[in-house]
Amino acid sequence: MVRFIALRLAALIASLVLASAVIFYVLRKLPGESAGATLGVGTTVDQLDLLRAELGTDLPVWQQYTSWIASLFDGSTTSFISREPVSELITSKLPITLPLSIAAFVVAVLISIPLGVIAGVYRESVVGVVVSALSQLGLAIPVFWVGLLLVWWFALRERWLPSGGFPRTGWEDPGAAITSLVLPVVTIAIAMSSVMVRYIRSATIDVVQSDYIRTARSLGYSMWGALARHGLRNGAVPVVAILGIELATSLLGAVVVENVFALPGLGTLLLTAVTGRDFPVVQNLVLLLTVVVLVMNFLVELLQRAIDPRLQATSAAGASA
Amino acid sequence: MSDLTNATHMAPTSDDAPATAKKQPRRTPPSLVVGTVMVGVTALMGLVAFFWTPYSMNSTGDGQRLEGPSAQFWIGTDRLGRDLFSQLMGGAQSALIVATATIVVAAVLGVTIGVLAAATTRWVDIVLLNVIDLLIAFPTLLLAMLIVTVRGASLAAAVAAIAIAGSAVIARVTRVNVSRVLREDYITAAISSGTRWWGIITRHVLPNIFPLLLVQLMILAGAAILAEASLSYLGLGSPPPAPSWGRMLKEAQSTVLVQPLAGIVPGVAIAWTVLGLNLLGDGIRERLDPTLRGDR
Amino acid sequence: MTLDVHNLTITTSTGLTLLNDVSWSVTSGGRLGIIGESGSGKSLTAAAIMGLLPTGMRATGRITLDGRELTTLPERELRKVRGARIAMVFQEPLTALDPLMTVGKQIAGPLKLHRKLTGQAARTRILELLQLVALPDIERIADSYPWQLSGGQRQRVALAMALACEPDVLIADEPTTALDVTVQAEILALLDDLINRTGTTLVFVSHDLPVVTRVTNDIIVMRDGHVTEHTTAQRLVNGPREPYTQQLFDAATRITALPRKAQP
Repeated sequence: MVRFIALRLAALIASLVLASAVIFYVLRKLPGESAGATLGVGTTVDQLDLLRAELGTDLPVWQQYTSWIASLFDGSTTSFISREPVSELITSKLPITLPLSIAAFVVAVLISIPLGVIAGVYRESVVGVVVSALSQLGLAIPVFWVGLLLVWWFALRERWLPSGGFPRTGWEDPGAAITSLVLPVVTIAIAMSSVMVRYIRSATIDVVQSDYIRTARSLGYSMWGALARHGLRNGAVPVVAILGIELATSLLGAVVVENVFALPGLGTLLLTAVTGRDFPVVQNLVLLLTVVVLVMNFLVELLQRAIDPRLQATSAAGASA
Repeated sequence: MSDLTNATHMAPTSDDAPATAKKQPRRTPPSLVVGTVMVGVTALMGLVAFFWTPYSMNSTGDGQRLEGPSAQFWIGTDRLGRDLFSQLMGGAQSALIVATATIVVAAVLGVTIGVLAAATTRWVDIVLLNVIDLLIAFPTLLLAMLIVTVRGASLAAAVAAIAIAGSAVIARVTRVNVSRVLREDYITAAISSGTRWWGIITRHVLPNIFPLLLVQLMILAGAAILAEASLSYLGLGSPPPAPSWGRMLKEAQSTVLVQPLAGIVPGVAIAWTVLGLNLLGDGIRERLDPTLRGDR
Repeated sequence: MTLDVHNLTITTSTGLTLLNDVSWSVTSGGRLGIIGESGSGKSLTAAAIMGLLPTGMRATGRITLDGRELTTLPERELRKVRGARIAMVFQEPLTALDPLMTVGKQIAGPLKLHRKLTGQAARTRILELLQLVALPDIERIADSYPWQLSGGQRQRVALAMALACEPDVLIADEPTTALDVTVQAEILALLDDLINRTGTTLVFVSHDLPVVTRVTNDIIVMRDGHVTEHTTAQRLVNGPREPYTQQLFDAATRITALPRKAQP
């Protein structure tokens, strides 16, 4: 196990280095002289030099890269536009984005585990077919449209909930903060549970049709008894993977959905930075989100191994298998 | 060719399964028919839009602002007085372009990389696989944002991001299935009878995995249309006045109380098309493997 | 302990008849072999006795255990029969056992369910059972996962699990088909010995004629959901036979002729 963790950790670090290098390269070296593009037309040579020095574009590429990585840890990178340190910008947005994505994830899990299991166990019956069809439909619907429809109905027509925005005072008024997050949370949860139901349903079908469930039933267990005894653990291996990936995805869902609801979180910050060509913010924020995704994948792999002892028996180096 | 395909994709039936199940003739799965019809409608709309739309997609003078549906403007006009149905057709055109471009790029790049990974040395395989996995893990949305930050918002930028991510998925599917097929006995037979590497890949392996790739490409096309819609909703797709379902929805958001159809119809169009593509993928899969039912 | 199958017919929801008017009975301590090709309905018969037909299939006719009708028994009552009075061993021992649960815990299941045995008492019984099926190193095996064992060891575990609550009837559905030839012989010898010692009634389902004649006395031959012949192992070996049985016999002697020479 230790050897495995060490190997996967090395692979994680390698992916992180590769991903950060790609992000760095795309933003610095893709055609379109970035310094000039940032300042726009009519900039003087002096201004350009100043900006180049600030960006460090006068240094060799590898030094630019290492100094960027170093700046991640001392928080010295500042936004082109607001001049605030990027790390402070990011942490100031977390109180909106984190509750949003975590709540959406929890709601999605609470919806999709029972629905997915029921759809799997009763897949031939009306309930199973309906749940399965709904999840098919959910997969085809863009998340922002769900948000738009919810806003139209619950905020604009019925006026039960705010159509968007977040209280200026933040969480000082928890009631107001929560009501402004209800629709965004539901929006992301609907999109996520469509994916999760599909995976949980097919994991359930695999378990229900498995020989060991048949064996357990031949020994006197009821269907649900056999599922509780053998299904939870066996079903958990594929389900953990999708839950881990979706937890990371919920952050990305937030990027889109925050824009539907005009929530001033990480997503809005990122979009403003992209359209305003605020390179340092884009660079660090994209890296942060990438790190979250990669670390989630790493944790999923560890968790799956803890659940399934068979994976421990196979060679840890078999990344190519 | 079809015989080989059947032999390798037929899941083993349980030993004592009712004999009659095996004798059932191959039926065309309903999802294949429904999916084809749904995708066909969108494709037709998009194709026609190249030559004709009821009104110019962007001329603002044709109707009043925010008109309701009428014989003249089938689903009304937007806040600039543009005909919504013409824009819807334009959106279908964009979706068609995005889906086609993604399929072509992902098929060419993905299959090439996948075959390289499967059929060359172990080290090439390991390196390629790790890059592929990294690309699959890297969210398309973030990739698109990076490209847009540097190059500005455009349809090409959106397609590039989607196609790169799609190529990674296709490469992985290709890699897995090519190595599976390469282990089959008839390939060993072909190798020992002196067939060249290139001949084996093009004559035996690719025809064998083609139907599977087709399934993946259909699903990918759906994902591409969804991704493009999200990007243009965020203002990162093709800039106005190029038509796009995603941006139609963005523009409709502020006027949804007055003109609800503008906020509904483009969304239905997206869901319709993506659902159609997913059903088409399921249908092809089911047609390949009749024992695999219940994904409906 | 008489297991009686009378006019058993199985139909699907689409109206297909998979099993047509099958009748046989096996008395206490008896050994019945059911032989037929795949698709003949032999495994379906076994599933019907357990009350575990796939959804959409319906059984009519009577299945009685000591005069007690099983087909009309409510699910709750049927669960008390399964594992306790009638138990089953399946073809593929790797998939028939839960890959993520240790062998000991899996055997503990029926003990807790039917005998309320837990803790040390259960552990003692589990080790006893593993010993009964002649496994070596029983402490280690009890704490192993199925995938850590060999195919033969897994099938022994499956047997131990089926026999855990001393059932009256053991249904073995192709229990040796997935095993190597030498392991097959070991398992058959073990089964033979266990049935002798415990007095359990055996219903042995297989497509493999020599295997069936090795462990059973009475034999029924099935084809396409019908019983084509009711015979004994002795008569089957010595002939004469029904035409279809003759075909099976010829096929079996042709195939088994080869590996037999290689055996010591």
